Amino acid sequence: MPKDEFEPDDPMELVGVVLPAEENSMEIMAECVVEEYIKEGWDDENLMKLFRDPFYRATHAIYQQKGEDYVRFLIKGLREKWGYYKTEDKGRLIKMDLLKKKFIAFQRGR
Amino acid sequence: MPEVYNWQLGRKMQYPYEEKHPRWQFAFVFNTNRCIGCQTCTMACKSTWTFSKGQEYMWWNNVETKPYGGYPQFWDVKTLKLLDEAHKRENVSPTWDTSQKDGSQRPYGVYEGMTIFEGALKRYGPEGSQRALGYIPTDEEWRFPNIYEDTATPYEGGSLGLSKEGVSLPEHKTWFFHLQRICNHCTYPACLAACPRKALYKRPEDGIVLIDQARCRGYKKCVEACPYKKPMFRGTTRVSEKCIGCYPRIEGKDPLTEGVPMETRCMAACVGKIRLQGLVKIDPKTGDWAEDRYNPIYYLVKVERVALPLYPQFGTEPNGYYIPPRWVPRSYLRQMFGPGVDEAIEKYTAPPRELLAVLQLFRASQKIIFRYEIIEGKKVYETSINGKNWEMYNDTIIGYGRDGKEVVRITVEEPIHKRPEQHLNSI
Repeated sequence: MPKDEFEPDDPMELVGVVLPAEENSMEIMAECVVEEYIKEGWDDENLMKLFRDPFYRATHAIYQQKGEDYVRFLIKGLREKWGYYKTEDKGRLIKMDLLKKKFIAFQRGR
Repeated sequence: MPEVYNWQLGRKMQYPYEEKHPRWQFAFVFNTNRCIGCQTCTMACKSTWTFSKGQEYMWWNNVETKPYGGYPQFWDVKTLKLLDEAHKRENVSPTWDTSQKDGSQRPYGVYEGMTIFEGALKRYGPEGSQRALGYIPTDEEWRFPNIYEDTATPYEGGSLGLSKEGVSLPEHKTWFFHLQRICNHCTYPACLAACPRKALYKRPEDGIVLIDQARCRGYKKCVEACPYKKPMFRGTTRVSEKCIGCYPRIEGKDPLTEGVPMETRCMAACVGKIRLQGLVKIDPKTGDWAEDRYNPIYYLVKVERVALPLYPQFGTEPNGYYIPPRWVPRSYLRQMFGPGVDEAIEKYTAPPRELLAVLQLFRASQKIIFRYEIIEGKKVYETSINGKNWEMYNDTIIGYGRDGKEVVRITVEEPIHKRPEQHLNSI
């Protein structure tokens, strides 16, 4: 077998191939992450940052694929389910550092 | 070959040495659901223990992204393959009989397949070249701890593989989770079983597995045998090294804790509050964990069974336990954490009142918590999870250190302390 040909069925070739996505697999993952962080007391704005920030790969991939409206709807729905965790917590806002801002600008410019 | 009882497998198994147990056992629980892969634990360990010449590729603590990544690359796939080949050779089925579940001595049923020790015994015989099925990773496999986890393929163009303009590489577009790994300080360590010099030993006071640097001759048999690939060879000293469980901290020698046991560096550094480390008491008669209902580790592993061992089928009885990620396909998780996965996820998704309180203890204190107590609080919320009613109570949980003194007190509805905006990044 030539080295540059991948065989998706070969367990030794997990690296080097894009795994086929199962339906809804990313959405379920995003739902679980949002639930975990709601339970930890995060507010909606900080949750949105988890999605907007390209350095949080799982959540940002959802954001890219589905868009901001979908993420807001997801957070709203789970906030209703776990309503008691509503907090107004402006003091915990995480400021993006310069490197991240540059990275985002670079991505948008591409 | 002697037979030892492995409670994770629910049966006796063959192991090169007679059963002998420490008084306490170093153990820990990682909640994979909350890990964001920030690698703070990795750097805490690296900057404490493996910053010297010859240790460049050593990461005693690492966090890898499953299912793509591994450090060393393919460590679990390769060992699983060796075990699979052994089963095929012997025509044995690596199944679990879950109908034989029986309390804390047999919580997952009975494993009917072969362990890495039994596989090696069949293949090489009692005096054979290997005590456990294993392999030595290549230099390339050790060298790149998180390679191909962000992108599925490498960039191969340009001088030195660099691009001036930047390139887009294909990304994995499916589920993943972060797996945190340190030495499991196994009850039946494969590294210890394999060493021809008997340089590895398990400390009687806390079950931490260490390599005697004076006895080690660098034969790498421990590197070959450990299925988790946590012993590592150091070229500059020509002997092997491994995670030492931050034993000076466990001994209470850090002045911060005034003589009581303290969590390891990787545990104490976790910003995601996903880690809880402890010491569990061992019953000298049975060798199993002595019943200690209010030790948080005992409760999570033996009572609620929400935390599961990593690849229990390897047979080393690892002492690291994981709350499995909820979103990952069950067949993958069952292979990785055994048949207890479904029960663990069900419990974690709608945690019982006591579990919700115990989860608050994760990273609540640097001191090791030996016992907890719960003061009941008011009902604060009610909702429906998977069609069933679920209630939340604002209970208070109190953790106590080895000396019986209170080390932490925290409510389920944890108060949030607001930091003034002008001091956001100051202590």
